[in-house]
Amino acid sequence: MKYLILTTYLLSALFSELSTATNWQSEPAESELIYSVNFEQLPINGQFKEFSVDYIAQQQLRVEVNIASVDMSNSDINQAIRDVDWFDIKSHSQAVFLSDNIKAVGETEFIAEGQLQLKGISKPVSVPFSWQASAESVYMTGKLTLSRSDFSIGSPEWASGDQIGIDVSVSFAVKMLKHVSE
Amino acid sequence: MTLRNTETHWGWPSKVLHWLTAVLILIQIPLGFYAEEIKLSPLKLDLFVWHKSLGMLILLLAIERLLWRMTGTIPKTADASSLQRRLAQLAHATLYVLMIALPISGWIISSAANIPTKLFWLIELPAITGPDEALKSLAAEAHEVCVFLLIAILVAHIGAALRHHFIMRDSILKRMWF
Repeated sequence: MKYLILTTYLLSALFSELSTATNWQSEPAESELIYSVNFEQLPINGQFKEFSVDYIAQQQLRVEVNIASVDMSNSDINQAIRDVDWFDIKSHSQAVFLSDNIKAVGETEFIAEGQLQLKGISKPVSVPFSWQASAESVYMTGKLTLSRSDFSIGSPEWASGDQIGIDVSVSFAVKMLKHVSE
Repeated sequence: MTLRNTETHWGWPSKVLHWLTAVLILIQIPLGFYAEEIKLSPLKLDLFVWHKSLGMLILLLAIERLLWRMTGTIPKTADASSLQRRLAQLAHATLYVLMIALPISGWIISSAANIPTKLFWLIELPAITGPDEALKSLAAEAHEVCVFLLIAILVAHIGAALRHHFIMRDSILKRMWF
């Protein structure tokens, strides 16, 4: 009888774990979203200071980025990239990546296939990430390359990529905490 | 042509370095003002790469000239009052200070502004400070003050050389030529 109770308990615990997937949310203070792009042939870094990541384990990944929080450690550049030629933050203050298709490619490695909406343009994007769990939290890291021309970032005069590179390397390191839903 | 300067003549290294620096500075000043003035564009970024490249070249030439000067002699100034001689010495000393202060302050602006630089699109120039908006503004002001001082002294320097040549009809200007 004891074993039956225990087995039932374990099974129900297992099923509840499977049916109600865990929700995770980013902890802003310990998360970073940075990018690197060539400036006259040398890399220059930028970051988005405000963004959020919501993850339902192996089901859905949603990332929201406040584009106006962009910072490149230079007031002139910060002003220039907010302009209509670049991020155009007046019209497009937010970027969203949404994936409902997350594949495991290793024990802690995943790929989220989804759509990135940036500067009003939506394109399919694959986001590879690693999911490193510790006792209380999970560290989510990843790196991908985006083409700024896919999202019309940089007016036609910048199209050659000689001064400002076309490829933008984006990387993220996000601390995820278990989210308790009401 | 002699290598070393003498009491009466400039050696060829001093002459070459003088005229090379002269040409570079006369390109560099309008280049800097123009690049600063125009709106953000690929051209503006390219012009700043040229400006920084020429600036570092001028700095190297200035150091080279100082070393060359310190390890040898320079021709004596002919027929001039002691006041004129003092003024000429002061002007020349200030020119050297500016040929070093301008590139260094520019280097600080670039580094503090977090802008990476590849001189002539070939050689990476390391940053000498981290990103720092306050330092950038300070260095930019110093750079501007220095360039106006440079223009003023160049006007006097060129004016004096022309006065020697056309009015006093002495060999001061010819002496620097080949």
